[in-house]
Amino acid sequence: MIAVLQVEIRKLNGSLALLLAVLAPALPGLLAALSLISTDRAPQWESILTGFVLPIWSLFLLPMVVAAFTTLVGQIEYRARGWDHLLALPIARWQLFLAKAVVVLAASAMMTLLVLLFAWVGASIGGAIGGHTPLGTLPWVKLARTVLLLLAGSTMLVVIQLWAALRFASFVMPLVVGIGGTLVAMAVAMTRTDQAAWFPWVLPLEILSAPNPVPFALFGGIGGLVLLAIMVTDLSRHSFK
Amino acid sequence: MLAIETEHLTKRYAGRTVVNDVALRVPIGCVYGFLGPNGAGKTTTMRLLLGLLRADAGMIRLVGHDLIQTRRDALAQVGAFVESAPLYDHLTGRANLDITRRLLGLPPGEIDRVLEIVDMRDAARARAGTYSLGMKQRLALARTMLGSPKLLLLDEPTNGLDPDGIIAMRLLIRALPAQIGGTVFVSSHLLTEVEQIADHAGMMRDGRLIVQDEIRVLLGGGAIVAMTIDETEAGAALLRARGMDAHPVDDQTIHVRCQDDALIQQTAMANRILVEADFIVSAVVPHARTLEDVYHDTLAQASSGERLAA
Repeated sequence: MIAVLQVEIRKLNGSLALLLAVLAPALPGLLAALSLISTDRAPQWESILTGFVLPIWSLFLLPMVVAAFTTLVGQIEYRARGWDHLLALPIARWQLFLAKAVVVLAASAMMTLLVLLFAWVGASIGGAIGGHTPLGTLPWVKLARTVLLLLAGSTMLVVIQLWAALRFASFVMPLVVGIGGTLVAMAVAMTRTDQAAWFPWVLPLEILSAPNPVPFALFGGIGGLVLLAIMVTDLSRHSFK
Repeated sequence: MLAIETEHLTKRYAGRTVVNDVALRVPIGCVYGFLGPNGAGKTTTMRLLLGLLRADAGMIRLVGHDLIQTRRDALAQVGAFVESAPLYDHLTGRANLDITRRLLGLPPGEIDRVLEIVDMRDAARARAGTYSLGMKQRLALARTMLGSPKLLLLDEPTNGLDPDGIIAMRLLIRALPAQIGGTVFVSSHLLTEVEQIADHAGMMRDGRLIVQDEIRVLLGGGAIVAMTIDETEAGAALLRARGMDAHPVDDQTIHVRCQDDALIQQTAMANRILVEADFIVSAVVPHARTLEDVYHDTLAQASSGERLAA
């Protein structure tokens, strides 16, 4: 299994997927920098990170970036006709799909951490240029808890996206899933409706805004693991062309 | 033990049988040419042999291992590429090989060994996306040889190659059984190409394996003489009426099949019959039997058999 994981990481080297995973998290940092340059008073670090950067990331950017990232990961195999080669090797099929899921989940975690890093850099630079350096200290404990809950809660949407990206040869299907899910999440955010609180794309938003985010994180995490098991079983039986 | 053995191998798509009761017998240590026109079922059969598709019926045994019961043991004996060279264009040639090497748990030196065989040690440092089609095919061939499998399955390995590439690939494939100490199973729609590299052949048509044997045996069964005459239909009919095996090929040529040991006498006899009947015979040329002839003869026999059955 270690070898399969190493191979999956190796495949990302020099790929568009890796480029996306590094560049996309810079966008909230850029927005934070622009915001700090134009503001007329210094904000708190906590409000920048948990009130501005993470909501933008979790509501809109995370699902869109995950959709694009998983699509590119799937297309690495489809464009190279890699399935024919991989599935004809004397390796248990479930290992191949599980390794892809582990790498994609790790990449989405890394992207979220990069978002915070870029946001810190962007806000620091923006504050220095605009003359309003952010106040207070970085809320490490709150950030760590929020990020952990966010990662757990987004597991389900990451697995659904990966499943669509690996199951279908066309890149259209995973993008449609991602865009559709994100639009629903945005509609829910704008209308403040409660009916769709358990929709996978809405869970990250609920984790950031609900008084008790733990049930949403548990639902996304456990639901994601169940879906992961179903995905691995399904793909192991699927005939790839 | 056979390198590949199938029994009643059958695959259906949407009610259409694309591989129909195929019984392959591929001996160990040979180059086996798997022939047939596009759409005959060759690639589907290859995908079945590799476990990439599930058969609707039948058994597959690779180097003595049942593919369904012991998939990993069976595939451990096999190196393959299907349809086109599957490479990750954003990685170097060496990185492409390294991926498979790691998955198979082989030592790093294995990469240099296979690159040496396909003469790509220097080129392997470049990204695969920059390779010509011939280089991609050679690198994919190198990848199939990682771990020294006992059986190589190559699907249309000369597809899209220029003449130099075809010659290079032909030489490589011909040398492979000695190099890997095993069997090479090559699918192709190019009969002349396979005739030059294979010592066994099987021919597919409409999902059925219509013939398979040693090429030496397939090409036996009588020499053919091509005779150029003015009225081919009538001339061939006259020869057949006199007990000879003759049929028109086009509006100028008839083929007369002769016994190997009576070629000269039977050619002279055919010529005499035609001349005495006032046909104008302008050329008599012995024609070496090719796999193309075998293919057409087998198809003709299959068609006449179907007509009789009907």
